[in-house]
Amino acid sequence: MKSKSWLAGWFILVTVILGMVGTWVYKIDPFFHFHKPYTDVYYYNLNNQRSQNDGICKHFDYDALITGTSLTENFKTSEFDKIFGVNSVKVPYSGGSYKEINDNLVRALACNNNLKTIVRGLDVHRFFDDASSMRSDLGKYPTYLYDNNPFNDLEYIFNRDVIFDRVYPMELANKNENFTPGITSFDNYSSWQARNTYGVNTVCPDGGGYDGLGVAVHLSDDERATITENITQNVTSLADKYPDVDFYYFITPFSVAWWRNVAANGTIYKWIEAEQCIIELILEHDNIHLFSFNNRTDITTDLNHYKDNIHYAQWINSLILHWMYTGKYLLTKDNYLDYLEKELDFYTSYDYNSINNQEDYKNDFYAAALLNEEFTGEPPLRMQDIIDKFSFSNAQIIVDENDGNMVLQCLGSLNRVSESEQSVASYLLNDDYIGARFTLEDIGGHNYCVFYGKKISDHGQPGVYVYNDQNEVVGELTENYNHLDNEWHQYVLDLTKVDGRVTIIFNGGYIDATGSPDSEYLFKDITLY
Amino acid sequence: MQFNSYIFICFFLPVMVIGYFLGNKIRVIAGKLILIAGSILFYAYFDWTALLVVGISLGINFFFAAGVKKWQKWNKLFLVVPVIINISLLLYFKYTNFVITNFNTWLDKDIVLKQLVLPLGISFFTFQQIAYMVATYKNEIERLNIIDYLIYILYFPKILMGPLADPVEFIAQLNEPLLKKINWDNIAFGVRIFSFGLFKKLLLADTFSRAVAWGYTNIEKATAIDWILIMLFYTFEIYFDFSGYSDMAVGSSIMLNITLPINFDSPYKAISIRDFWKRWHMSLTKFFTKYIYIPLGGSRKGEFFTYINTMIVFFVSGMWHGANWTFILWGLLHGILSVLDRVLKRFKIEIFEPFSWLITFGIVNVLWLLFRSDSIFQWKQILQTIVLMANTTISDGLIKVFTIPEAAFFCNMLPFIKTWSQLIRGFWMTGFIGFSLIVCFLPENNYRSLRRNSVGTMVFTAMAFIWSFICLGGESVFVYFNF
Repeated sequence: MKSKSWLAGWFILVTVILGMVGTWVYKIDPFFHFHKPYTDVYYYNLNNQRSQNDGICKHFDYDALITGTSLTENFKTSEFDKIFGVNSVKVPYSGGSYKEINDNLVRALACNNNLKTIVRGLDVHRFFDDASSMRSDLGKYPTYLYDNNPFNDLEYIFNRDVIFDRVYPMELANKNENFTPGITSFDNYSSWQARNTYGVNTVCPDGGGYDGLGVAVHLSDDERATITENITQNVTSLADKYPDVDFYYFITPFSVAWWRNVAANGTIYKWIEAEQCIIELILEHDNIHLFSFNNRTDITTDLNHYKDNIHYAQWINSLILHWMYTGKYLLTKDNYLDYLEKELDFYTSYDYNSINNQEDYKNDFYAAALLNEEFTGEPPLRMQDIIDKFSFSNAQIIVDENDGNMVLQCLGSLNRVSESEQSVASYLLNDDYIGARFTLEDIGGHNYCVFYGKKISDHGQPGVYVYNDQNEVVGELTENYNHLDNEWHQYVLDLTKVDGRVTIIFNGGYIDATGSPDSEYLFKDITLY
Repeated sequence: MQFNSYIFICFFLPVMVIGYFLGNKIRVIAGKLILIAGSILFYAYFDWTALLVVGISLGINFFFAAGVKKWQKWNKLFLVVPVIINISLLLYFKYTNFVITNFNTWLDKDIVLKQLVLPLGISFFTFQQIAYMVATYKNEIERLNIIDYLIYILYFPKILMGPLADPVEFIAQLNEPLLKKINWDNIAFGVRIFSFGLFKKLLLADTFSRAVAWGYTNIEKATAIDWILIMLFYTFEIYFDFSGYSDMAVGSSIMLNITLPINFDSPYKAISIRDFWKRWHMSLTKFFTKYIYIPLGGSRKGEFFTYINTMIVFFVSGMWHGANWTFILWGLLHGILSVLDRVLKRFKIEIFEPFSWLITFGIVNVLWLLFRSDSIFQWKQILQTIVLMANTTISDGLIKVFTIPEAAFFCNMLPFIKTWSQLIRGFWMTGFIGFSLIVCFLPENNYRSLRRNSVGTMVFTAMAFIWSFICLGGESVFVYFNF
């Protein structure tokens, strides 16, 4: 074989195969670099911020955007849309610097003229970053996705991981019989809420002492200059360029455990001086609405809202949206000095040693339930308020000897056939239950069902089911009687995704006829928050 | 610029090949100037300031080379001074912080380390400068030509990692009129060599590299069997990495009709340590032999001095490989074993060849482990884990490294692979080991076997190239410590 023929054959093979592969990647485009996702054909997983956020900003339809670091990852765009009346996307950058976040906003605003509302967290612990700071320590940026250079797109379209870990599985999944196309919801994208626990035992598992305020450390001129450059370049410059866009910025509310550290080493003065410097720089721009919640000390000092010194739970994100919409805790030229003074007074005089004595709620969502009224405006609904709606079966209301409160006493076991094909939920709804049942025509803003339960004897066990108007189970909480002792336990049922008419059944009996007829289980303090 | 990059493969190399031969058509000097310009661009692609040190080195050496020619009486001085300067520069950049660290450790001092950026390829271009000076001094280079000199030092296929080329042979090729026209046989051969080099680097070396990295980040967790495997994996990694690079260098160069020396000749087939060094990084061995071993007297001054000279060469080799006691010990141990090899030969002690191969391969493995370790203590710690055999399982983490992104694709295309991968624990790891053993031990050297054009080599080369090409890119994954 002649070399020229050999080379021609080699070249044709390489060109044709690579051409096919490249076309395939271009067509599916899992990072949305070239076009909008085909969500009616493929299922797109959102799970790589640095690779996908840029494409989301460039090609999705939206008029509002949430961005920031991990402290914005738990925001739900569905809540943002509902509260602000917008159509939003969420593009957070874990550990991102102000510059990285701003660079993305620059591209988003340049690509999307409809973008009019931006929510962004300003992380306190990144106050002293350089204006050019990027997190190359966390990984290699796929910069080939961020520019308009078609040549470096080779790195995307001929990319082993993209081809075999993204495009190929998406194509395969598409051929499955039960395949449903779509995309990860922005509510779930990057959310870490479910992966963590909250409270003092998580934030400060080893406790932590406090020996009083450290020697005061103040902001230096160099630091002030660095902050000014960083904020001017990466926070306020866009507001000047896009005067018709509303920027909702908030200073991320860190926990009292973080404040303890800066108080102990005396840098608390420096942090608050830095905050003042930033506030003053930002307040010069009318289209930036700057918020700070640090003086909501009932929240910052309650570690049940935190998973570590700085990361707050998703219900705080919900409240932040609510507060920003209603203008609560908005900093203005008139109130910011007062805000800073109160902040300094509180965190320099707080009894930090009291942190270690905090109650850590067994169920993390209890903290959310207690704040729900502030978020939705809906007051809690207690058992005694709706007792007339309760229907009882093999149960009765008794009075707690200690506090005089109502207690639901459930006696016996269900007559359901053992190993019946009928589900427990269906049996409870259609046949019988050991406990109480009630229906609310509209659950309204109630998002959590909180109650206490206690096994008294034999097979007593809690089974609480929530049904919608289609009689579908939309909430469920069960516990095996083997795992129960004879103490009161608190339970929280998350009903944040439930709307409209609901029927709730509290069943305290064993799930079928094999249970002892002498079983007994008690429910009390049933409250809808 | 790296050979294994989109810019080199898609733009730089094709442009250089076309530009060089078009330049040659106009005038020979035009082709040469294109080579110089391209080589500078290649070298300084990431950082133009890197040119400073290499520029100073070029200026000094060419000045002294001119001196050798002009002032014959003082030619020895004009040779010795630049050699000292070259070695001093190398020592300064490579060993200053090593010396300071040891000084601080042994004498309990607290001298601040210097912020030194090691110029790219300094270990290689320094040796090339010395080779050029010696050739000038010996009058092997009769007429100095700054263009030829610049190409010899800066030539992009070899400036960063060799192979170390003889200046006389190199410059002769550069000026050979018959090599000024495009040669399609060489282009096809270069494409083959380059493609297989790329494959070795990206598919094999990089996979083994991840497995080795897993071991060194899980030193306490890795079991005895893990470490035996990791030792073998590093043996494969360093071979596929370096020989893959050399293949890409030779392949790129042959497209320009310039043949660079072969650097590897199936080194793991060696049946003794001396045999190993005749097959491993051959251009370096040749350099040390020519410029250190022979000037010291080689084997001409009796048995004892032969051993001493051997030890000196290996000590320098160890030093050259890196600024750490591990490299020095690695060099010395190779030296001792080479001496022992000579002693066995002298006393005509013959060892059964397969056994001799096994011993050699085992020693090379253990010494590569030392080469890779951060400290001699760490090496000792790992060897201790292996010897104690306290845990003989293979960790899931190590096995998982080998599950390539293509696994699902292969399983769907070839159902028997799916069955086997479900039945055999570590199926993909075993596959990599088996394939690597075959590549290392069965075929004839690529430089001889890949000369032929055939449909088979065309398809294989295309597949190797395509697969490697898509391995140039990977998905960026950010690590965030909080989660």
